Amino acid sequence: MAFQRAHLGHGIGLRSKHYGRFLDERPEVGWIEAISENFIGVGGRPLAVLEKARRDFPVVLHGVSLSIGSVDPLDRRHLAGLRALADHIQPAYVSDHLCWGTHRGRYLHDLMPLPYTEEALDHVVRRVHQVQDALGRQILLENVSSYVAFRGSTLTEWEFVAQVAERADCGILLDVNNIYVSARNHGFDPREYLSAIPPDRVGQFHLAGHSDRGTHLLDTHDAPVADAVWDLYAAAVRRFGRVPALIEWDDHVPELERLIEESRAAEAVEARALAAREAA
Amino acid sequence: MTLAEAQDLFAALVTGEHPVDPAAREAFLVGDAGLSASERARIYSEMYLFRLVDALREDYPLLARLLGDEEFFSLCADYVRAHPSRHPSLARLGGALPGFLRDRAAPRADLSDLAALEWARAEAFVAPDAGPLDETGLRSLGEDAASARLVLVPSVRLLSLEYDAAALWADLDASREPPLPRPGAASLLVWRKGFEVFHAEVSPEELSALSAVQRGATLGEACEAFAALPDPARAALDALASWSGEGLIARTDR
Repeated sequence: MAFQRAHLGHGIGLRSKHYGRFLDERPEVGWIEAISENFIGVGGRPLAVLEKARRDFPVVLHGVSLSIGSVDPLDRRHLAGLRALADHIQPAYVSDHLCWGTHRGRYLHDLMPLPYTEEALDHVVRRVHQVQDALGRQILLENVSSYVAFRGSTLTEWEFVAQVAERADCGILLDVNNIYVSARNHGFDPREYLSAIPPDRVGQFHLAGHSDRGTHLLDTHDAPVADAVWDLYAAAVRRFGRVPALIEWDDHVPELERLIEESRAAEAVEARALAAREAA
Repeated sequence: MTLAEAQDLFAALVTGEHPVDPAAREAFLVGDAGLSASERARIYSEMYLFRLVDALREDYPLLARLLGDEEFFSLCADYVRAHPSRHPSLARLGGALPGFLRDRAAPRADLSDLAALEWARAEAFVAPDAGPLDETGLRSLGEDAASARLVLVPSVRLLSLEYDAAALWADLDASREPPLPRPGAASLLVWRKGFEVFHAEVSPEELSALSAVQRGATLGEACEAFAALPDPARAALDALASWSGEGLIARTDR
């Protein structure tokens, strides 16, 4: 099997602060990404906004609670809800994170890092197959920012991500900011990470801001994309080509125009990187 | 260490609910001169609580305003220990907070009722869409009306409160000085019309009729709630007209 990349251009995350704008207008964005859990089983204004946005743009459903790496059983009720939402919205992609977030029935609502072991790899691969069967479609998994590493890890993160995608036959949502944040927090070379990721598995990029806490970088999504992340994005475009890219901004969310400006900036970085790739 | 053991240990570090032996933590996580293993774990435990409290603040903005940041944070920290999240959506985390407040010594006696009203409004805002049935649909019931069953729109919430939470809600919502708790039974109806959520005080009879309808009673059975009133038929017709006018009825089931 293979993975089919969609051609969407540059988009932004749909956040409640801008619901009114998306309902009343057709903002100048290429596509939008909606947090799946905010729309499963709901009606009213949030669903009306998503339906209207879907009429205007391609939509990607991006989840935060799949908990693909947890040893808890998969939440079948959640998968059924996600499938119903995806059937209704017909998104370009359904994605979630390569992490775990449930423990003994409790949702931790955070993206917990996995130890990179053969056991975890087998476990995740098995579950991605189950999820893709339940949803009737391929999913994309996103690399997360992390602040800890496990002594028991026997693989690098990039080896783990690549092997999950190949063996489970899913796509990769490569979060360029997360690679940068984790590289700084763990002291690895982000370019080595990029070079280990199979290009035909990469379906989407995420770009976001982080904050520097002195001892570590925190993936806060509350600021513009940092210069070093723009550079890494350019390197990613040179390696992977034209990939749909999304600006994530979740805290201190600015006006829509500022988000659109940031996605235009990404477009310009991509254009320059593609030209450089062409010339090389 | 197996994946299951790693997740047990990491969850204990994150939630802080089970003590973790520092030696086990050091053997488990990589630390360095810049950031020790315990400092790295603490990044997750702090984010865990802050994220949950932020989610509760979204659903309980007026309770948060009334209590102030510190007291609200401490309430929420106790709450999530007692009621860990069992749902993939953070928007469902706060469902047991009104009951939790009822059972604990609170700075004001009406906090649980205020929370019940805020939660009902939050649920109504995102409740699934349905109906509403227009007046023609209702009139078409004709002579079979008494044996018909009404299905209310999913946003309808019925609250039997012990304090005047609606007055407290209104003052807090308008950023006015909150009144002292005012004891007194209150029946509140919460519903959504279009995208907007409303609440209104109704008579205890109307609340009990609506509650019977919600439980699947026939219209005839539900209207027995009005039996003790001077003009039960009039009261029932008025209530039906109001339910229909406010878009509370999704459809009829026979």
